Amino acid sequence: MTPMSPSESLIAVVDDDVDVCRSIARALSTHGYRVRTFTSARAYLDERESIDPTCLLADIRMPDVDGLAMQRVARDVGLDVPTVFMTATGDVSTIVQAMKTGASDLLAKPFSPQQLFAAIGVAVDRARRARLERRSLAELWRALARLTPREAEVGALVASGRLNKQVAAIIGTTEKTVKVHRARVMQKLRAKSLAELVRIVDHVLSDPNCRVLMVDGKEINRPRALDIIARVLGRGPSAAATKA
Amino acid sequence: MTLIVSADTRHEDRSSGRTVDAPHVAPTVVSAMGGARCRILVDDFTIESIDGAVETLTGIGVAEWHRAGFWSDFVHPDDRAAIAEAQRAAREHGDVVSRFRLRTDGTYLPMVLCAQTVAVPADRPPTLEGYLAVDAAPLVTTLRDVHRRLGAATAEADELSRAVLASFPGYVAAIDASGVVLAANDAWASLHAETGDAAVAAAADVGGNYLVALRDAAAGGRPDFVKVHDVVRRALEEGLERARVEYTCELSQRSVVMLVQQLKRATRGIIVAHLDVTERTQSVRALHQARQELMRAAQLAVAGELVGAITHDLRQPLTALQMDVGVAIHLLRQKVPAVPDALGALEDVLADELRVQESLQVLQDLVARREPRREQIALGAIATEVARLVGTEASARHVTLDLQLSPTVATFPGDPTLLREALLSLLLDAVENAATIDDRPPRVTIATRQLEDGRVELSVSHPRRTDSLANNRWGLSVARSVAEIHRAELAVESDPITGVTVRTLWPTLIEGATLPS
Repeated sequence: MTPMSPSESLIAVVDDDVDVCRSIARALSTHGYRVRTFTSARAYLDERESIDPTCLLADIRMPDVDGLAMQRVARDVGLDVPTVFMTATGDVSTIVQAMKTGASDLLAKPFSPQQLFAAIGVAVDRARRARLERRSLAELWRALARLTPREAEVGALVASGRLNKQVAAIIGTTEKTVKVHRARVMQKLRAKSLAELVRIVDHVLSDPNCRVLMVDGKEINRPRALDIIARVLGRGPSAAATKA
Repeated sequence: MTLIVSADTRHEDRSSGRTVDAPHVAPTVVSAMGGARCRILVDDFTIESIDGAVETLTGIGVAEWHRAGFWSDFVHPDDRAAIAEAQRAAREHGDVVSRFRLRTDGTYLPMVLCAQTVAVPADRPPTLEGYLAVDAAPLVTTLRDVHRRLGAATAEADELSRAVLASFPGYVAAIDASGVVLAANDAWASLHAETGDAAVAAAADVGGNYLVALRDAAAGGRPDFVKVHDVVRRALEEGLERARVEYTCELSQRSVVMLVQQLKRATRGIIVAHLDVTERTQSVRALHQARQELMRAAQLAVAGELVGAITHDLRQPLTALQMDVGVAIHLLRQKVPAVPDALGALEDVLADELRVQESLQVLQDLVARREPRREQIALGAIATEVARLVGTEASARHVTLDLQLSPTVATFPGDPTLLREALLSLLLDAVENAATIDDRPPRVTIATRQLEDGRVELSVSHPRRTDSLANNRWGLSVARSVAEIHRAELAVESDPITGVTVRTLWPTLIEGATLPS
């Protein structure tokens, strides 16, 4: 896995202090990062989808919408990215809230350029890994989309450790038919063994609420087979569908 | 008043050595006695002539007077010796008053004999004794009564004066126009005995010349004597109506206030009172110190509440500063240093540093221990500055600050830092209140207004219906203290619809010279 070069990364900087925005942008630019600055959360959210940043550097305390609320809104619409928060207050409750939102890092102002680059590096790396994971998941979703409902049902039951005979009894068919469905599932999902099938099923069910994947600017809808597998295994979505 | 005049008109002729009679002096005697209506001219007790009016007085006919030949025949026998003695005394001493009874129409009338030496013209015998007998029945009664009442009143007045003087908590004396002590209470002497100046102590006694003693003592240069002498002298010599001077006794180190009041009487003079205010001065100092401590505690409390906001204001430019310095170093360390870009970053460093200094100054102003200042205050500028300080806190709590500043508000004298603290306290309270409401927009309004009576109004409003948060009374207390110092009015208005408004009215002209601290 090769690291992303800075020029491949777009850093969105959100801070209501113009001077802070300017100086951070200059520091990041000097080290090769592409930077977009916003002096309000609203301005960032308005352009978030079109700019598709690699990671976000946001002040927590801002007028109107603060950094934490901004990230919640972005995540709710499937547009969250690894985020480094900045705070000039440093109170414990703010730090706790920031970490609960899954912040990549939290920088207490004033911080040094080294601290900034370290935090941004981690966030960019995290973004890169997340992007790879999304691509991997997207490939599985595409494979799952090729399963028939019956294949999805058989795949879920097999992945749960049941024998072909048991599966046949559950779905009301013959063991031979189950074997045929099972072979197709293994083929379509490119699973070479039962263990690999189990890992694939676990992976696709890791985010049961995710309905849409954004990969390289394209939306991939959650396949119906995934819902069937989740239902059979009792791991269905618990809340409103989200993008990822 | 009816008078009977008896004039001994005998006169010793020095050239002949004989005693001669000089009845012609009688009118002069009567005239000198002043306003007699009638007269009897007699030689010793010999009646020479008699005015008809005597009859009216005595009820004795003129013929009877003449028949008697001696007016002493009409004097009560018991009084004749006294009359003779009075006449003799009059000749020797010039003045005499004696009582006798004069027979009138069957009764004896109480009379008073007044004798006085009277000067006569040069061509007349040089001296003679005149005797004035006064119909004194009512007069004696009146005089006796007046004398008794006068004596009683005088005694009472003296006693009252002594009591009044003694009752004064201080050291009091009445001093005449020349500086002589007329009267003093007991404490007066003890105070001056403690001055360490024997002359002043001696002159402080009744009869001593206080002014002169003070003048001599002041010539020695002691500040307490100089102060006291100056005021006493101006009161006595320049007619200074009243004066008040505070001094510290050099020897006892006691704090004393001297009050001088001009006496409203023809002969003038002054009342001087020294009051020992050492304890009061110490109390005032303690109170002053306590107030200073309270103000400082208030400052620290406000500063404490503002730490978040100010820290934020401080950390923002520090962040920018670190970034800009880092960039400048990075650019200059490149193989080909990007000097122009590095200079641009360094120029921004200067701007960042200025912001840091401003934030530090605000913090320093808030926590510094200092005396209240007095300068012209532009309320609008202070309101704007304070709103900016509280802006961060308000933003964090999603409270909107609404500035409604009148451009026509006059400046007024006061301490801008204290006023800033008062407004900060009120604003922080208001933001806290506004942040807790959920049925209306959380908005805090700061408004200034010029009133027609010359005062300036500053109000802070928030929509919370009751100002009942337990922890936000401190700000109001701070604001109230600052308002009191500036003699401003502060009122809290609560309205079920519009919420709470803290209204302050600041005088643009403060009577008196200095801000109390």
